[in-house]
This record gives sequence, C-alpha cells and structure tokens, in this order.
Amino acid sequence: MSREIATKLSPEERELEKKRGELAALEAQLVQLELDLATLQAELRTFEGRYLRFVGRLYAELDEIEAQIAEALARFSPKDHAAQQQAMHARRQARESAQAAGPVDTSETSHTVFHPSDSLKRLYRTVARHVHPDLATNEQARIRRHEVMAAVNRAYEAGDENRLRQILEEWEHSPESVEGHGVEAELVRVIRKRAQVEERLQTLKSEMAQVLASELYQLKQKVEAAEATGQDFLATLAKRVQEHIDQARARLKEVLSKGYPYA
Amino acid sequence: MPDADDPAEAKSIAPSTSRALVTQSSSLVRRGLALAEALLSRQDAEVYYKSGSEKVRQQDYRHAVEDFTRAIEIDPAFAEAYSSRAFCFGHLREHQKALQDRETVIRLRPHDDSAYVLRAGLHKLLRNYEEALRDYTRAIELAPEKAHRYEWRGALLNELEKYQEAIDDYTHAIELELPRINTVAYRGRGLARHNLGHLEEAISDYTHAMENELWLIEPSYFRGLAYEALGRYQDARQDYDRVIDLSRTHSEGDNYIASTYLRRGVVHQKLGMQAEAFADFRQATRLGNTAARAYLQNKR
Repeated sequence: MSREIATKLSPEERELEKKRGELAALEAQLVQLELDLATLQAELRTFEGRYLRFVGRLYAELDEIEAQIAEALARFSPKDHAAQQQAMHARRQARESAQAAGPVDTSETSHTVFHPSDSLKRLYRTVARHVHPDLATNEQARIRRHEVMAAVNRAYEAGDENRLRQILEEWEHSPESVEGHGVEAELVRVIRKRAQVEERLQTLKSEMAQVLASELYQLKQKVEAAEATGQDFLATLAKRVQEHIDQARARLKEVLSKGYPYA
Repeated sequence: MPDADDPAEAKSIAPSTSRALVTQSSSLVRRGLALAEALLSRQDAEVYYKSGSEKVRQQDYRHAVEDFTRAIEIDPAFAEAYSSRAFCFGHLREHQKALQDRETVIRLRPHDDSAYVLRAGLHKLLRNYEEALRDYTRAIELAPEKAHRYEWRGALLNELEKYQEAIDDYTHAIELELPRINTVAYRGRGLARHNLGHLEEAISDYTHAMENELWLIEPSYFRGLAYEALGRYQDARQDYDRVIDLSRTHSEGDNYIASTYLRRGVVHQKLGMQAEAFADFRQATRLGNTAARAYLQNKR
C-alpha cells in the first residue's frame, strides 16, 4: 500500500514530469542552436578580420585617393558647385571606409580561422544550459543571465575553455542556481520556461536565417569555396583592388600635374 | 549613402544575447562581394574560353565558336572571348558575324589599339576601305610607337593608290625602327615611289629592302623593273638573274618566275642578245606566261 502511494504520482506530478521532459528536449535544441550561431558568428568575425586586412583596407586606401582627386578638382574649380559636392561626398566615403576597415591589427594575423574543439563545444553547451537567460524565472534573473551569457559567448569566440569553466563554477555557487520547491510552483516555472524557450528558439532561427543571408556570409562562402580549390582568392581580390588603386594614383598624379593654381 | 549602411540596420542582425555581428564594415563587404561574384563568374567563363582556345588549336572553329559563346553568356564583358570568336568566324568565312564581335570588343575596350587593327583587317577584307583606314588611324593614335601599324596603313594606301600618303607612313615606320632596316617598309615605300614614277628613289628603297635579307625575291624583281624602265638594262638583267637563281631554292619565287623570264627576255632583246631573249621567252611561255607567247610569235 505504502509502496503504491510512493510510486503513484499525483496528476500535478505527472504533468510536471511530462512538461519537464518536453522542456529538456527544447533546452537541448536551444543550446545547440546557440552554439551553432555562436560558432558561425565567431567564424564570420574571424573571416571579416581577414577580409578587412587583405581587401577592406585597400578599399579604404582607394577611397582616400579618390577623395584626394575630388578635392583637387574642387580646388581647381572653386565655383563649380558639383565639384564641391563631389569632393565632400568622396571625403565622407573615405572617412567611412577608413573607419570600417579599422586599424591594421597585426596581432590578429595568426588568428585566421575559427576552429572550436569538441571539448570547447561541449563545455559551451553545458554552461549555456545552466545560465541561459531564457531559462530564468523572473525578469531580474533574466537580465543578470544576459550578462553572463554574453561573457560565455565572448569566451567561446576566444576559444577560452578556462574562462568557460570559471563562469560555470561561479554560476553553480550563485544563489540563482538553487531553485524553489513545491510541485505547483515548479509546474508554473516549467510552463513559463517552456514558453520562453520556444520564443527564443524562434528568435534564434530568424537570427540564423539573417546571418546566412548576410553579405558577409555570402562573401565568406565564395572565398572559402574558391580556397577549397586551391586558390588564394582573397589575394586575387586584393590584386584587383590594388589595380584600381594604381589607376587612381596615376589619375591623381595627372590631376595634380595639370598645374592649376590653387584656389 | 545607401540605407543598408545605416548602423541601426546593421544592429538588427545582432542577437539579443549581445553578440553583435560586426557589420560596421558592411559597405566594404558589399564591394568585396560584388567583386568576388564578378571574378567567379569570370572564372566559369574562362573554363569555356580555355576549352574554345583548345579547339582553335585543333582548327575546330565551329565548336570553338560554341565554347566562346558560352563564355560570353556567362560574362558578357569578356572581351577576349569576343575577339577569339571573331577569329573563328573569320575562318568560317562568316565575316559579318566576325565584324559584330570585333565591334563589341571595341565597345568594351575603346582604348585597345589592337582591337582597331583587327577590325581594320576585317574591313579591308570586306572592301570597306574607308573604315579600314579609319581603324588603322585610330590604332596609330592610340599607340603611335608601333611601327607595323604604319606599314599596314601604308599597304592599304598603296592599294587605294594614295601613294604619297603611303610614302609618309612607310617613312615613319622606317624611322621608328632605326637603326634596324625595316625591310617591309622599304619594300612598300619602293612600290609607292615606283608607282609615282620616282624610279631612282624606288631603286634606293628596294636596295635597302634587299640589304637585310638578300634572298628576298620580290624587291629584286621590282628593282629589275625600275632599272629596266630607266634603260639600265645591265642592272636590270642582274636583278632578273638573281630572281631566277633564288627561285630554284625558294618557293616564294613561283609567283615571279614566269614574269621574270619574260622581262629578262625583253632586256636581252634590248641588249641585242637575241638567242638569250628567245630562250627566255620560250621558258616564260612554258611556265604559262601568255604575254611571252606574243613575243615568241613576233620573233618568228
């Protein structure tokens, strides 16, 4: 009799078990998607750095020369309104390109590909399952978890396993990791969590779709496909832009050598 | 600046977990992507271009045209593909199509001097002489240092009987190539001067043309004609002797050999060497020269 009572779950408990199972499956899905997105974004960031170093900064250089040409022409024709406009526009473009290309970071040159190890990925999944903001039960906890999750992502992108372990350890000692008791309270929590997780899954899927549709991702795909055939495609791109730079330099020289008096 | 460069829009890609996807560089990325797409489609087109070029080597012009057409479909700005296809159309005697492709090349590369030279050759073939002349002139304007373009325009001017202009072109070609002896230009200028009746000057040019490559049969023959016209029969006879001598070992002489026997026969007559003249006329007749037959009949 007592045994029967012990194994027989109340309807609430049965419901809770069922919901917990569903939630666990969704959580696994969520954590995997977070990992995929974090991996993709780290790869994109690395690729972007590589692209900017090899090609982007050349575009910035090209825009700078074009700006100088436009400014020289504007100086030679101070009353030509279109020339003044053109000079201003070219200068703005050059400034934006220089800013976008960023400073030439030589320290990063060795860091050319993002290759997360299996243990790093496993660790990320473990930590994410614990700290994920969408598994928080109240808004305050959610905000705190956002910060932690951002730190997790940074550590992952940097490939820093130690930092991830540290975050996990700190988390396990935090009061938030201890959850309240009572079947009813637990059931409410699980149901709420499930709604949050589902919402987050949708967001993640649309983020993923956006990333995959981004120009940066398309460029990365094209460059890597060409690299797979043994081409140094970034070098090919760089060479082409360099040709434009050489032409622009020649044009600048020609414009300056025409010897118009400065306005 | 386009809307997509707006940092606000860039941010929309950033996930809520503050993992902002770096998009400050989006305008630079967009330019790189456009360039990459252009280069990659160009690479696909180049596969067909190479295949077409291989077929040209095998003289399979019909199938080469198909390959170049595919290359052009992928990359409509592929100037070399149009140029190669024009070359094939030329071999297939489809000169109008060749001309169309040559025109496209010029549209794509208005500063490519070779493109004008190639179109000029086609115009010349189609007897569009004015157009050919214009194209050579444009090529010369674009690359005034290339001597052979003056030679080619000179040759066309010779054909159009504009001898004085031809002489100017050949003179330019000769000067550009100094100190090398420009055999072709001396020969061409010699012909132009010959046609204007400036025989002494023509002889001087022919002599220059022969200086470099003595075996050249044609200048010997023409110089012989000039000497003959000046009444310098001994000199003429020597040149004709040389043509006949060289023709034994050089097939280039085939075009001139019958006429040379005829001319030498005439010179022999002038020099009072009747037996030699008779033998020459007979030889010329045997080689198919109908004019020589008349001389033989006169003789009888």
